[in-house]
Amino acid sequence: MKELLLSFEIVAPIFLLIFLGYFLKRIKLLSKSTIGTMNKILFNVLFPVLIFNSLYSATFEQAFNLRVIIFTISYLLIVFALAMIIIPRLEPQNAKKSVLIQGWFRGFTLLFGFPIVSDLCGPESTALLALVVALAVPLRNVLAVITLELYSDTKPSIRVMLKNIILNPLIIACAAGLAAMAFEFDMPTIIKKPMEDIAKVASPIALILLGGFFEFSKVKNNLKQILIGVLGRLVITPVIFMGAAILLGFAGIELASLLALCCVPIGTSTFVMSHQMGGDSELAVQLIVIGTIVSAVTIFLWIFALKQLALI
Amino acid sequence: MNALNLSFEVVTPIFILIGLGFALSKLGLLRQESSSAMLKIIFTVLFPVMVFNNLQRATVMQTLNLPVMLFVIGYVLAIFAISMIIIPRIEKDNRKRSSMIQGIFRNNSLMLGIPIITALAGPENVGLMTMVVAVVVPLYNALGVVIMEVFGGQRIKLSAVLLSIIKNPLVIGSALGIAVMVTGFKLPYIIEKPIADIAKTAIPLALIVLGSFIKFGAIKDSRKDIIVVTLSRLIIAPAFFIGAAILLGFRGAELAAIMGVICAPTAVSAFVMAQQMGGDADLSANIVVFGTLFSAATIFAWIFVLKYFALI
Repeated sequence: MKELLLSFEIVAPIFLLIFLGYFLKRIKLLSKSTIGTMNKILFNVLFPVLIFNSLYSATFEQAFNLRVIIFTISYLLIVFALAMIIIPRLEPQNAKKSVLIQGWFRGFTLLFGFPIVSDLCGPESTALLALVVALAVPLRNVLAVITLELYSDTKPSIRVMLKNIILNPLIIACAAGLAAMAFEFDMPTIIKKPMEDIAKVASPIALILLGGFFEFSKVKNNLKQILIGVLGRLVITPVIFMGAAILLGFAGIELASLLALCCVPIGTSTFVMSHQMGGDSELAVQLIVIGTIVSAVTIFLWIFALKQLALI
Repeated sequence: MNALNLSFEVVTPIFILIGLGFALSKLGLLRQESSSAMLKIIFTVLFPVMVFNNLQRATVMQTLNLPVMLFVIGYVLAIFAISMIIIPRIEKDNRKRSSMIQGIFRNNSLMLGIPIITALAGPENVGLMTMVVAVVVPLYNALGVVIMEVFGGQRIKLSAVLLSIIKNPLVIGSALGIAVMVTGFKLPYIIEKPIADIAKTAIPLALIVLGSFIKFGAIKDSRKDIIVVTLSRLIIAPAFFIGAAILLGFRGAELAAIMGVICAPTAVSAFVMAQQMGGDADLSANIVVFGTLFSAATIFAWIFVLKYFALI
């Protein structure tokens, strides 16, 4: 009973903020262009500061966990390979294939990870998660570019894409955070304070913006695809990989960080990229919206199950 | 800690966030329309939630400080009356008059007062500062309407004034917060958590957005007006009224709260009001910008002086 309440208390606030975003959009306080601007600020400033802060304030032992690093990379590569094998057998259309494949391996760890891990293990324990994010974000981007490239006629410039991935502010923030951590660099209060303030802004605003992104369109035509995408992302791959993680002996902060990697719904960047590179962006929106709603239940169940097993 | 260091550590983080907003606008990441849209969300959602949150957490003992309330109300009325007498003798243009008077009496105690008092007197005194804000906001509303009547030549019904005050989201937020505080009602965690999360975003975002409004435009023909307002707002009025507060025996957190109102620069809402109600919007914008920049020095100086003499 206690675990049930606790899991609920972690999940409900997250989805209340998403709902607030949807509500603000409905009452026209949050317009598309405002969401666009705020998203840019979010990914260029707020999230990078959050990542930097999580790493900067941690010790090397807390953040640098080789087992978690290896697990994260293998998870992404294996899910990608599985999706590349299975999805083309289930879906004939190229534009949908590329979105579905992304749907399996791209989770919005950056957004869901921080509130989940800091609530489960305390706000001081997000350093490992920051590292997971720093690995997952570029790897997921590279895999997404490969997927879209394979299944679309438009030929994007790979060089530009790779440059964007390397110059991603999140990656830069991660590198800076690791450097500051390694050299035990001590920032003056007058810098630390505003950075902490900004870091606190990132997750709530990101959740509100995700809600503002919600759009409900007719799902009839895509029913099968949505089922494949959402089940693959939120049920099948999590069962396989969380199972594996438990068998491999991960627990506590490690397991919570992996939960944020494996069990979160797909993110809005899937829509943005698919839109740019000839994927079925309508399907992407549906996967994001429905996946997010379904994840309220599945994330809750995962937290509850892991708590019940006393693993986190 | 010595007074100089402390003043520096209180003021700098605030102006770093404002500087960030300025940088974002210069980089083209935060454009005028988006800033305005964000400002609207900040004032209709984030600040009301923050005010609610600050008040519902506080106790009646902490917040209901009649002498401070009376002093602040007296200050606002007095400075309003004085500027209503003096400004028309300095400036002939009615639109400019209205912008100048708004510039003198409308202060930004929400964005600057609350972080200052948090840093100076600790989070337990945020309730008091919020209560002071809750008292002055409707007062500004009413006085703003008086100015419109006098200089805009508009006839305004008392019922319309009352309605606009009751419908002000900040007033609603504080009324609800006071109700929860007085009744001692305990909000359930799943509601309290997202509210606290949103509350944390209000001030950092507001300061960033405030910075994005900084623009050095045409000031030539209104240089005199800007100087008059900035000096009266940030030096003359504070010297007089902080002096009075000290003589009346206000010390510590009380004096800090009074300072949070009196020493803050002109609020952004003065600009918004001028736009909506036929003031000189350019002049108001300049007053806000120069006041905000100049206040970095004056707030620093005020904190230093009061700390040095161990009054706060």
